[in-house]
Amino acid sequence: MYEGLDATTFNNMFIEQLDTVDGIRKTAAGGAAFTRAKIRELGFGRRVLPPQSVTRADLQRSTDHDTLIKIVDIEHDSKAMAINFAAEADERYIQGKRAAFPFFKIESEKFVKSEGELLAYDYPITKVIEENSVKDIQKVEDVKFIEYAEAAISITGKRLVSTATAVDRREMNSLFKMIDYDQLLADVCLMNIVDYDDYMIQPATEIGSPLASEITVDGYKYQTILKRKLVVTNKHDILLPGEVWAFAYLGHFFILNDVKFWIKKEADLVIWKTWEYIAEGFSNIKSVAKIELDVANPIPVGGTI
Amino acid sequence: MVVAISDIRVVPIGEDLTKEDLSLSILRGTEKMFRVDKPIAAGAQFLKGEWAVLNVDGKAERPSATPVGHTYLVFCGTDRFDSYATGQVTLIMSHPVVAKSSRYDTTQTYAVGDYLTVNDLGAGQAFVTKAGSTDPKLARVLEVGNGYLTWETLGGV
Repeated sequence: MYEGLDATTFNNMFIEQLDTVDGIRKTAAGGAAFTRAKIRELGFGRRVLPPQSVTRADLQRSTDHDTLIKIVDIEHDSKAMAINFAAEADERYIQGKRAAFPFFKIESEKFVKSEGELLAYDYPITKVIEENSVKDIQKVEDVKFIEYAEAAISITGKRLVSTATAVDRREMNSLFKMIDYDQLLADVCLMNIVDYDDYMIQPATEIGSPLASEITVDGYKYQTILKRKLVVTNKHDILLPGEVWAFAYLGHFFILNDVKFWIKKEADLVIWKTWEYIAEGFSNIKSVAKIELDVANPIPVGGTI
Repeated sequence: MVVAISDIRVVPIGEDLTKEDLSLSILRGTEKMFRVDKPIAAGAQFLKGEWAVLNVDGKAERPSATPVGHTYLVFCGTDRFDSYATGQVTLIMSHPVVAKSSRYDTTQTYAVGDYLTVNDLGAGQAFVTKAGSTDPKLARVLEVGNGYLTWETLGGV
């Protein structure tokens, strides 16, 4: 819709659109479409637990307050047994377990700008939306994601402390085995980009000459690592360098309806914000594991090597 | 003992939900056992796998320090919505069953063949424990497992 326009013309049109009711509706819709695309691309929690869209009809209410939860069933146990012809097996009176995923709201700051100042920008207003509200929302999602992952391993104890100073295949093998041993399958590996950088300097004696040569030229360009989906993030304030996670797809990430974008013009002020309602977490806490490397100061900040 | 209607299984979940629930499993006799609802005595609360005593009014109350024969295994506790609605607790009565439970007096050492009784174990517990020679025998140990006992009920003889 806005392709081919220079930034100033775009910002002008944006402001003019906000002077009509229909224009506000269209602008909000356009902003919402843009926001959704970027969040899905950038949130690493969403790449580990694929988001599921739910509606109000899928959720349950609390009797004590005005909030919503999504109740998820846990598979019940069962077994078979070898017995003599005349005998009969044990009985099992089935009693299910369920987990509740509480919804919460993530909201951007309410951005305010005068239309005059908006015209002074040399880049489209969508850039501002992208750099502020989208980034903030995805960051909170990921903060909660790691918080819940930490809660899971604090119960299961699936946390390995390694003396290795860089991630390699040996460390990742130990990581995956913590999940695989429980008759699950580690599907995803999540690491900081700093560890990813370290992974790429493994010698040919470790990873083979063809791969080492390839990495030296093009970097590690595969989407999987040891057959697991690889997710890399640069958010070192959420995922610390030296902390590498493995996950099986046994959690949930629910989004109620969709991300909402609101915008209005009050006199000469343009005001907008973005929010969403989500629930995320791990219903099978055995599906999460972490290895912590001995990475004291992984980020070169100058000086000598 | 904690008995209340509350959804504690809320993310972030504080337990391994894939772990088998050993609080009470009936291994034999489910089809024929008498599942009987009894009104709950004032203030009494029960969890599945605990035991209840019928008081003079025929209401379920928690065991006292002295074991009695009319003590029954709780099949469905008072922590359920239906129990709140009816004011009753579901007991297993008048039929031998084979049961496996992690709810027993863990301060005792058990062997296969030991008789079990039920009394107030302190700290609010109402589990099976080793029976003294004069105590009513409510069950007999069939297996001493890792974190559970398997027993057959004897009907308080």
